[in-house]
Amino acid sequence: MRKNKVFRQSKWFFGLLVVLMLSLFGVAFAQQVELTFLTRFRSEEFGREVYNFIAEGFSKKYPEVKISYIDTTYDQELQEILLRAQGGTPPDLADPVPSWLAPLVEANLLEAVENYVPNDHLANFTAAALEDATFNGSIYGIPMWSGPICLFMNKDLAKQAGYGLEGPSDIFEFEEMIAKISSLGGTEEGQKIYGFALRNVKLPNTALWFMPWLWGWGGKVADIYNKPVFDSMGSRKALEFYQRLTNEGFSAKGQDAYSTRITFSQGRAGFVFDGSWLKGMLRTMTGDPSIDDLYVTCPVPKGWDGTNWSITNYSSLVVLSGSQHKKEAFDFVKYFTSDEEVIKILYEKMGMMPAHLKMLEASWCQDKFLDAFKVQNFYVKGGILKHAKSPGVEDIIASAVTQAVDGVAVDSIVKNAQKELEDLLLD
Amino acid sequence: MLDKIDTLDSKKNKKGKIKNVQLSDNTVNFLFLVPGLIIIIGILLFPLIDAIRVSFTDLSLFGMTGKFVGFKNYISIFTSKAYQTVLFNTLVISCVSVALEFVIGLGLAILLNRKFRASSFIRGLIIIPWLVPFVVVGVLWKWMLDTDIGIVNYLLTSLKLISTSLPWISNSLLSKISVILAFAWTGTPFITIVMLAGLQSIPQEIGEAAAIDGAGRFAVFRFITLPYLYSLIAIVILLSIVYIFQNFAVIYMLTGGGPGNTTEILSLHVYNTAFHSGQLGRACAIGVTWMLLSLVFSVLYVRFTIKEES
Repeated sequence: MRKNKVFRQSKWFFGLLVVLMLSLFGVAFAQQVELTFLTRFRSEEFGREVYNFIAEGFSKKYPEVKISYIDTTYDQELQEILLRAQGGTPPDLADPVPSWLAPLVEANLLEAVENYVPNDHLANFTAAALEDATFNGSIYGIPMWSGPICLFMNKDLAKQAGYGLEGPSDIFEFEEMIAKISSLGGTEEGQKIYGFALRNVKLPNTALWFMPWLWGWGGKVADIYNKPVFDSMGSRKALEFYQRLTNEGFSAKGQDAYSTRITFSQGRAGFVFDGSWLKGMLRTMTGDPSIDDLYVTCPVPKGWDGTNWSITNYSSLVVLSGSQHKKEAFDFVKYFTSDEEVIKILYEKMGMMPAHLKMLEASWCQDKFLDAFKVQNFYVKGGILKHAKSPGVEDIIASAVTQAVDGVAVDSIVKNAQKELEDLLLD
Repeated sequence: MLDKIDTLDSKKNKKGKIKNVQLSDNTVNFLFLVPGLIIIIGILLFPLIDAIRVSFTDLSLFGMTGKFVGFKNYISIFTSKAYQTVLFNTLVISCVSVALEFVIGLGLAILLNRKFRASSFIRGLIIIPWLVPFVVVGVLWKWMLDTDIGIVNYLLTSLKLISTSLPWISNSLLSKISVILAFAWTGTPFITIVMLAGLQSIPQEIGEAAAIDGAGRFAVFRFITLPYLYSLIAIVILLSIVYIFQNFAVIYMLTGGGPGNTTEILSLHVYNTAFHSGQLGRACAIGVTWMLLSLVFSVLYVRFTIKEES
């Protein structure tokens, strides 16, 4: 009887102890801040690995904060940020491209960084990178990496066509090289070789990739007052350039980002136009690190006026104004954009060139592969237009490109696009 | 049992506290419908009325503020060349797709109406395209029709039917054909199954009697089978047209509405106007016209259904 009584009392004691421990555990969890990060970069396996590493590293440094990712795609990210934020459940963090910043700022959805990020942190980034995220004198995002687009050139095909490894110096030589590489015919398996794997389907990304060629031929979408000036000789020349490449068979019709990368990875394209992240993607696609030996990188060839502008195309890490944990979110922003281990793994695993100026000088960042991007980094302009309706502008430009590829008269394409831009921007 | 109920009623009446409420059948039926009606009003009717309201404003996605502008959005879209093109695309793509679905679907139904080995297995196989999600249909056809590595071009060039690969999604005519093929592929099983059910409901004796009287197969099909199926054909065609009207995913994934806007239909046009151009008011106006167009087909469907029932 006595033993039973002791046993019952012990049972109660240990039960209470377990409940107390669980409560403390629960309280600890309740006090842990959870930051939600909406991102498109975990769609690839190597992206998931890197981002999970970053989240773990941050949680070690800030144990009271946990990062939860919300995965999305490039095509959906802007709409998802807008709808989640306006629906009252904004993510704390997101990584929009430059052309999406204007609509988000217009909708008052982004938090300015100045109250949370000191000036000495901002001084680590190029003026162009910060300028793209600056609206009405306030900065709304910190660049996660540099994203200038350059040419990847297949070394073997260039040699077979009788060229060295320097890459084309100007746009005329570029077109000659494309034509000569295309004339090499086909591979041993009977598949066609293209001079240039060119994106030309109706997607916003097609419009963005068109911009360096538009600038190279002397055209632009709008002036400094955002008044459309697409109806110009430069626009006609750029669209004719796309029309020639696709109608002559130098570039395959109907290719998007993914199919251009596949064609290049198969060694069937002389050139592809992409960012430094293509290095990581080619390795993942082929499963073969020796794919690095297939190509060299070259800056954008000089245009009519001797300049060679590319797009900045970096992603900015932003904090949404509806976030309930802004301080913690900006701690993550500072960590992501300045911690050497983070920036190093982003480069080594994903091929993302650092935007942090000091990291560009680090010993692990002296790969010859990056030389072209480092040079190009000083000749970059922002997205298509710094305007809230820039996604609509991208639609119009992408539509114009696809019509050119379809063989429609360039004059009528340009006039129609100009009218549509005026209706959209001047309404 | 009845006695007990009578006693109970009597007790209630004597106390005068609880009255015996007799509800009519119509009232009871209506009460059962109330939960469904609440859901319909909440999920369908309220957003619909709000969308009509927004169509008379210049509400922007980025500012979420809009002022009343009257019929400006409607005038703008009806005078817009882009809208006219999109409307034309919607009608052409829907009608041609459904015509193709019907011809193939009816043909398959006639074949499957005969008894042969593995007919049940083949019926099961035919349903598969209908079960595939629209997003997958779009991606699948996009890869099959790829100019460079698509299997369709590979087969056509291997069989020497064409000398060079065709730009299925980059040419304005071929892209329309691509979209129509994708819609027909996914919609044919529905028509096949419905037509098969219709064929199986036709009394066999009538056909046999006609054959005895000397009618050939085509005459039997034309004068006996088809008249039996008229109402069913009308219903299935109307439903198929409405399904294509609602479809967004196939075109979004396959062509994005391109090249230019040659394959852009109303559903995609609303999406682009709302989420790319940020013009919510204008998008709602387009949506209202889309709804009215769908309503025409829906009214026809209801009329045929009532006629069929009567």
